[in-house]
Amino acid sequence: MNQNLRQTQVANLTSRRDFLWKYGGGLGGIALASLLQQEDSLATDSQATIALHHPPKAKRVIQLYMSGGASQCDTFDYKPLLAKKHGQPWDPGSEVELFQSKPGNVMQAPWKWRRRGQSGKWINDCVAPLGDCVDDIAFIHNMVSKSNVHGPATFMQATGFILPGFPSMGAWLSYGMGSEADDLPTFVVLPDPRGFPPNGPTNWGSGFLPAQHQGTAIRPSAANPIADLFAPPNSYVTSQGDVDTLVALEAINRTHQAERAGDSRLEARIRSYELAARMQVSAPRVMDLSGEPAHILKMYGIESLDVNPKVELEINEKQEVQYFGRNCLVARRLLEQGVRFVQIWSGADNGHPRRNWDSHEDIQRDHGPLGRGMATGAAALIKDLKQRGMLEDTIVLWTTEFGRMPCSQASKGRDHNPFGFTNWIAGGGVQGGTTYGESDEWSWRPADGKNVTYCYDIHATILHLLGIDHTRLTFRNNGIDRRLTDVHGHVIEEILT
Amino acid sequence: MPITSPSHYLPTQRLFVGTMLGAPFATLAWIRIFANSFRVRSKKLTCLFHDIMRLAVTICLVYTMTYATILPTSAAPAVDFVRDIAPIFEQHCVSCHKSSDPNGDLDLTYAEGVLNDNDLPLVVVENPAESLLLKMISGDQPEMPQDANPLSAEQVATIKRWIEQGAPWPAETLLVDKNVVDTDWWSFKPLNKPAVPQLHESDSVWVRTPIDTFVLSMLRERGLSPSPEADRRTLLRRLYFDLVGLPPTPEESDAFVKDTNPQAYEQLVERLLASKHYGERWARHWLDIVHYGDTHGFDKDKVRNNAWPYRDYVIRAFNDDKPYDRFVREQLAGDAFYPNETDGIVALGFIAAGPFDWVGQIEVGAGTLEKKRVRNLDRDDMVRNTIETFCSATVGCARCHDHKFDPFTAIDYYSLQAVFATVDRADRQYAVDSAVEARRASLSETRKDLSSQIKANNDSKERNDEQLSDLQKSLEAVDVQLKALPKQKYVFAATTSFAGQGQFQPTQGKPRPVHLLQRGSVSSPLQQVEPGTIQCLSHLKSYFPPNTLFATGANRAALADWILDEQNPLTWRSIVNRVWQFHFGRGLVDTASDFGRMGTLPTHPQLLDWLAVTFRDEGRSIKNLHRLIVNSATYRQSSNHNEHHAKIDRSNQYLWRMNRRRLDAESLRDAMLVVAGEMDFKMYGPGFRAFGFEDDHSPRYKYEEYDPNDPASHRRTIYRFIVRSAPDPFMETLDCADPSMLVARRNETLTPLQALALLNNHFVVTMAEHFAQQINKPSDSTADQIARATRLAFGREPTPQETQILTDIANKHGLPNACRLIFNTNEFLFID
Repeated sequence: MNQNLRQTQVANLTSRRDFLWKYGGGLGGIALASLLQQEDSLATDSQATIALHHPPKAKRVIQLYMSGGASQCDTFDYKPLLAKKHGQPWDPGSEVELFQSKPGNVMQAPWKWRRRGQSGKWINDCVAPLGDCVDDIAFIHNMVSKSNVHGPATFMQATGFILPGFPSMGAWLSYGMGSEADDLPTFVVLPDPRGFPPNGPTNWGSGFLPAQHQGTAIRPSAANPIADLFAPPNSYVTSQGDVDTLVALEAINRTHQAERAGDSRLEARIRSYELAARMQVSAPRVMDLSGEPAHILKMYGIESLDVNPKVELEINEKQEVQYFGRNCLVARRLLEQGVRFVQIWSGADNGHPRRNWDSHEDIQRDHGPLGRGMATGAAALIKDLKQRGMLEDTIVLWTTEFGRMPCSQASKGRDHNPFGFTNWIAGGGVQGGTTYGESDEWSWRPADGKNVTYCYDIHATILHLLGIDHTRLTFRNNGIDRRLTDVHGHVIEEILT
Repeated sequence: MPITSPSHYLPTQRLFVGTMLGAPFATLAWIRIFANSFRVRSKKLTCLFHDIMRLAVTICLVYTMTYATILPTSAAPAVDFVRDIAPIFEQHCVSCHKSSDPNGDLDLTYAEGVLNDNDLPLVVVENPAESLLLKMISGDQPEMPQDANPLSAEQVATIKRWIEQGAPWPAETLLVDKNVVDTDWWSFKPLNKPAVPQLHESDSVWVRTPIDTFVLSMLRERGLSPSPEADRRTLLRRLYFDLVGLPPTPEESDAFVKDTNPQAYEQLVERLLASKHYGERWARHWLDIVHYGDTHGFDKDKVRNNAWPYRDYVIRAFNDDKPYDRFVREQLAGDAFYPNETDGIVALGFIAAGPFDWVGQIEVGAGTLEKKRVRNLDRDDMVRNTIETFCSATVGCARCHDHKFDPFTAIDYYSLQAVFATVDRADRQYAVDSAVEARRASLSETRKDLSSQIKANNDSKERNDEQLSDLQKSLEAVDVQLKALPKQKYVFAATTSFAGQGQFQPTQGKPRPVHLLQRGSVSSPLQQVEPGTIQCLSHLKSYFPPNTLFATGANRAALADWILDEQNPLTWRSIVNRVWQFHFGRGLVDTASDFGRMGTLPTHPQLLDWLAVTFRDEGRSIKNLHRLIVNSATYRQSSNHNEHHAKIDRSNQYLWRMNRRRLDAESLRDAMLVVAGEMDFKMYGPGFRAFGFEDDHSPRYKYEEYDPNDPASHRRTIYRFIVRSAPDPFMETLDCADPSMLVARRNETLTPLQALALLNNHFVVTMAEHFAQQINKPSDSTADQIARATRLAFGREPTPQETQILTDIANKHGLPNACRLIFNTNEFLFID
């Protein structure tokens, strides 16, 4: 083939790819690959051609993120040795590098451990409500992180990299799988009502992927749950005015477009206003919990449907249960409407007073209410999805940036532990009631130093369950075909059905 | 497994033996590795490297020319390792399995690594089928090569036969990752000025600048022809947004359309290039590339109060048309080259522009692995920012292993890190006026003197109260004078000396040791590495000998000299391509920060080189480059569609028309402010904050608390205070650059959430209201008001349809709603 001709074709192709991923609405990267094979098709129908790598077990994901570093040895990772050696100096036999402190004495969990479910999994009373669900959950106790600092470590769990600038898992899924609903964002984030976690919204950014794949923050308990969904109150904008304005806008845009043939962006933009209008109808409907029966609200721990009550910065059990439960219920409703990925955050930034899981000072004071609130909502979510038949093809992932040390910090708290912590997964394609990757006798490090789990493996497993080969979901940026899993990642076959 | 360099087990004389024995290619590779190991230990010996390399290349050529004709053409039954096996391993295996990065602890570059591996039965001569090597590459879904096509059946068979024949591998034959030595790629080729192509006489009429000759000849080759020139209003609007990022006023628009001077267009170009708003527009492009921000990023995203002087420096540099070489030198090593000038210091904000891991730097203890990780990534950002920005080379890939596609080794990469081994990102004092600073220094000296005299007097047994009182008075007088001097200023920049905080202490110029890291891991350091740069441009010195000319930053100065060497082909191509990209929406090379094998090829290689050489040799003036481009007939074409041409070149890479552009986030916001009559053109200084702010140990940026009527925020958007952790949601939905990434070109999206932002964001709703007030003269009819509105927003009279539709909306729902509609039109958002 003539070199110039080849270049022309490559450039045309590049440009088409460019065009499709920029303006193709919810069209995903994998879908694109198959579409690009059909040379003259410029279709941008988001429903049409989602071609996965293999048959999926699940279609959607909810990630529960415990911001600040949730303790594994006070929740899901039972170690009798901690009770036995409680209060004695900690000597694990090798040097311990801590973030803030010198190792204190061994400290047992402030609450009781009990065996729960058919599987008999030991669960701490800190998260007692989740005891009902252990037979649906696969626990992974040999998690490790590459950083001991909240910022980089949170980026790692959220994006697979310890640096800012990379797309979050939800953005990758949006890019790879596209949307099931064009009147709602593909990737929705429900932040803690007290504020954003460390790194802020960059945790759910799209990095180098196009902006439509970034997470859209929704605050179900705020008066204006989605930014700019409606004009500010008390402005000159009215709903009837908007109906007329949108019709008039389309007429003017159509005339403009008629004089400028061959530029599909102009059409794409006209269409974006139609979708916007549909979103204005759909989003409030999803957020409106008034139609939920009382027993469902009760299950999620929701006592009141008021919006915008005053948010208290300090951790307290009532508020934890309320907000986390409401976010879980809204998440279920979003998934029902075709949203692919919902990320729910428990815990905000590292400001004072303490408002996340970073319990350096007092595990009992902070993990107690946080655990109760999270476990109530999470258990309700799993049960609710199950009774609706949705748990079969929905993944629930519980994660945090690192765990906490088995020894105490300043007598009642615990310092960071990036050397060993817990994640768990429930739902589509996951073998419930399993425990994978033991930690050592202290719940400090993986028992087997050669078998450790990184977020790469979690991400690879989730993509696998969704029908995606993590090594083949790529996007070229500044010379590298980037992946969610970088150059790492193994599917954890042991926890799959 | 040995991970160290091969020079540990190969005596030097083998270099010559290997050459004699007829394995010169492997020898060439070995010399390179050998030289790398020298680089690590001795700078002096490294200078031998280029000579040896040249000799080796010559030997290779002679070898090829001699033996290529002698070797039998039919396949010999015996497998020859060098001829048959080495190329397979080199092409498919050693990029992962090599000494500097032995994946799976397997090093396939030398005989012992494969044949005598005691842990793995890699090659079992007695029973070839048992060879792990063979198992890994055969079968339906072979495990190796990972993430790549399997080897062909023929290749597998050859390897099998090789094992059957006893797996002979001459000990002196070392394999090398071909990518790392292969510089046969367009961007590494020397830069020569191509002749301007010959055109038919009838075609040369169209030509306005030499650019057109290149473009037209390419069009003709493909059966394409240029589009007609755009009309005057379109050209005016295009030039305004492109050069100054603002809409023209209706008056400017009318005057230009009516101007009968044949040079009217060129004069307009000159006016716009001379405008102070030009720098505000083009500095923004630069700030995208170097990831400028006003906070540190990460957890506890602290405010960076002194970042803005660098932003202002960039604006001034563009307005002053600072020669590009000077611009580069100041940013990379201004403290070395121009230590006594303001710009020499302020420009160093470039090195510090990216994120800063505050917790990791200030709270994490020295000596921990975590600290090493933080510093490694901090330098990584400096290296990538420098080499991607100035050279369009993705050297950052070599942090974990030699670059998989381009000839950049891990040693190259870490030697670049070593260039930045003395600097940190911190507030650095700079002098605004050297006379003032001299005065401050002398007063401070006097003050010190007086203080010690007072102390001596006080402590003395013969205390003299009169003298003491005089001294006190003098001291007070000095203090008054000191206080009267302009305050000292700070810029957040690269520095070796600053007020430390917590675990974050300056180096005072003493370099921190930089090691080659196995797989990029701070827990697996290999040899210590000396300062240097990428070696593949073999005609340039890639090592930096000690230089006592500079008190500070000698290695950064050497790197700047390397970047700006006339023979560095990357630098000059990189900058002209970037400027081209911002004019046309797409570069002659589409991947402006990646000229490597993973990037795209230039569409107009001759034009690119012609521009690069012209730029390099004729003043290095960005404004002259603009003149060449915007005065061209190519640039002045209409953006209209042509079905015939689109069939040949749908993406318009050969420029048979101009590209229609969607306004970037900043230009759109600026245009709204201008049209609404609210723009405050005050230049420079700390950024405006479009958010509420609270810092209870962890800063919080609350965009929902922003009041768009706050006049302080009615400045050009380049003066926006840029938060890394919490991007401005309005700007983000319009695809503004992410300040944590090196953004060569922005994404361009059209999403429902963007439509919602343009309809409902408080800023837009407010500006539409001001826009309405602008046009709302009570004496005018609604139709007149609408006409005024389209003149302001589109630079033209309304069509009858628009008059009718907009009047209708204004009458029914008020003028602000009609104005808000105008802000949402495609015409307002797209520039033809």
